[in-house]
Formats: sequence, C-alpha cells, structure tokens
Amino acid sequence: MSHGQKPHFQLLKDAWIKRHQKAHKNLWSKHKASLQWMKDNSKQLIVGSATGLLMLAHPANATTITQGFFPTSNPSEERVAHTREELVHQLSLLLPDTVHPLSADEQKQIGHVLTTFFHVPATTTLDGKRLNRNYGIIGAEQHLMRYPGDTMQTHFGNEEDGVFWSSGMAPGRGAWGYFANSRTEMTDEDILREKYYIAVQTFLSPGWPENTKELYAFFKYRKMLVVNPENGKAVVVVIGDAGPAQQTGKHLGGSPEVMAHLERQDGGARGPVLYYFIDDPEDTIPLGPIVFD
Amino acid sequence: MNKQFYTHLIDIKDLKVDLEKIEISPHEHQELLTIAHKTIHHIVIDIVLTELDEKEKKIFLSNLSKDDHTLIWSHLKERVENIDEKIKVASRTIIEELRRDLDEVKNSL
Repeated sequence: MSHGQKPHFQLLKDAWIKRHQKAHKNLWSKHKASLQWMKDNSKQLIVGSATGLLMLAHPANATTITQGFFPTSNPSEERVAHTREELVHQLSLLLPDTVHPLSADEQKQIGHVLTTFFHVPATTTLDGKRLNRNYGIIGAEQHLMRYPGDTMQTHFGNEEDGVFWSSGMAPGRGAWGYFANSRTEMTDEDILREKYYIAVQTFLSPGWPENTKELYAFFKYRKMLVVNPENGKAVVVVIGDAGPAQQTGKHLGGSPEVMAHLERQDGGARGPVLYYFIDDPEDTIPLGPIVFD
Repeated sequence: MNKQFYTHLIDIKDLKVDLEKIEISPHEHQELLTIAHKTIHHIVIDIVLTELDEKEKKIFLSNLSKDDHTLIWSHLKERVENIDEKIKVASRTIIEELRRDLDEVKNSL
C-alpha cells in the first residue's frame, strides 16, 4: 500500500457506513412517529435480546456501528455475559496502571467495550473534535444556577434530592450560562442537564485557541458517558461547565448527583473515570444513570 | 447474526463471496458483514413500515420486539399483499449496491 492510500477495508467500511447512515436517516425521517413511540415504550416492549429493535434505535458512526449490537455469527463463540463484574474485569485488562491519557489503541478498545456493554455509541472523537483526554481523576462540583434567581431553596423538586443539599451552589453561572431564562421556562430537559452535568477542561482540548467559538458551541451540553471502571457504574451526562483548573490535579468534575451514582468522592479518596462522547444526533439516549440489560 | 423474521428471504451469498476475494483480516470481514446486515435490516424495516398505517406500525414494532416470527408474519400477511416479494426485491437492490461499492473499492486500488 503506497503512502496516503487507505486499504480495502477502510475504504469499503467508509462507503458502507455512509449507506447505513443514509438508510437510518431515511427510516427515521419517514417513520419518526412510530419509531419514537417504540423508543418511549422501550422498557415495556423490549424483551430479552430483541436485536431487531435494538438495531434501529441508535444511529451509527464509523467507530460504533459494529460494536456489540448483536452476537457474532460464529455459533461456537459464547456471548460475553453483560454484567457489571464482567465490565470491570474487561476494563481492568485494558486500562493503564496509572491514570494518564489513553493511547489511540486503548481508546478504541475501551470504546468497543463501553459500546458493547451499555448499548450506546461511545467514542472519543465526534465530528473531528475531541477532549484533551478520556480517562482522568474526577472531582466534585457544586450545583449550578439553572435560571436567574435559582437558589438552594428552589433547587430541589422533592425531598429525595435534598440529600444533595450539602454540596451547595456554585457562586457563578456555568460556562454556558443559565440552563433556562426563568423558572417558568425551565423544562425537564434543563433540570436533567443540570442534575447530570460534568465539567471538562474544554480550554485544553485540541484546537481550542484557534477555534474557540466553534468548540465552545460544540461542547455545550454535549452528551457523554461517564464510567467508574472500578465498579462499572455509569451515567449519561452533558457537558455543563468548564474546568477544573490544571493545578487542582483533577481532570474533570461531576455534579453531586453524578458523583453519588458513580460512587466517586473528592479529596484523598478521589479516583478516575472514563468519559466518552455519545454519538446521539437524534437525541434518543436519556440522561441519568445507565444500567445493564 | 441473529436470525431475523426475513432472513430466509435475503441472499447475501454473493456478497460474502465478493468479500472473501479482498485482502482483509477475519475480524475486518466480520465487521463489514455486520455493517451490511444492519443496513439491510434498516431497508427491510422501512419497506414494511411503508406498507402499514400508524396503528399497524405499532403492532408490527411490538411484534418485532418480541422476536416472534410467526406472529410477525401472520400480522404482515394479513395486512400487506406480497410482502415477502417486496422484502426480497428491496434486499436484492441494497445488496447490489453494497456489491457495487465493493467493486469500486477493488478497482480503485
């Protein structure tokens, strides 16, 4: 193969991925109402491994299309048991011994595992953009003001959420300002975005100084999968703030709800998480804790 | 791949043979076949849904979720004339398109 030429596999894969994406887009645009109904009722509808529906539910991209949507065609290969224990085991084989940026191979292999286990298209690169890293130490963030005048007194909708009171509220707005213009305009989506947000070091992402405006828009509420590799717990979140500062020694921050679900703490007991983009242009994947089948 | 309700109607034998003629690893071969199967699946589901009204679409999708092929077929045969022929024609078209892509790649290198 001469320099600069892609081999057969990559060229054909690119061509077939394009065809698949076209077919997917066509299907969803023609039958959106009924497919949306399927998605909204998926918990009632899907029994066992109904791959006929699973194959329709997620858009695909080059990094995720072949990852774990249905069993291999080799009947002699056993399907991986999709338990949290198995996920933790597989990640332990792939992750480096110390917490440092993953190599391209590690990113790819771990992406495969995450997509297979959680049935979400997890990727480190989306639309050619990526963060500075995808494996790092997570610290605790405070609640963010969702609208002008939001306070700790107005922040919680029910008694259950009050357990997160002690985290307090950040004195300023998040990097993208308020989630809503007012309390009355605040939607369920706004509430969930603030509840399940992470802060990432957008200012360290490749190309940030040259393309700040474009990247700022790209990262706003960008959907991500965050996984604690030590216990397999995972949350679908959005990027809701920028930080933490490099000198903290932390690489990202999680909202109180995110930290609680992942069972991650700040301070001396802090630990690493994996954080990957979720390729979800149709916005079909809900925010919040994500569980195994 | 998992057997789908239409698996007996589609023939990807020629596509598989074409794939075996290009220089790729077994893992890459499997990956490409997976993409092909997913694309065919979307095309077939589109053909079926196009023939049904909204109420029947939901019944079909509900049957699909149960993976009950007998139920799927009894519903479709009652509602859509010659549905198996329509699925065969649509799948043949997409398979030909996939084979054309493969030929173009082979000839470009």
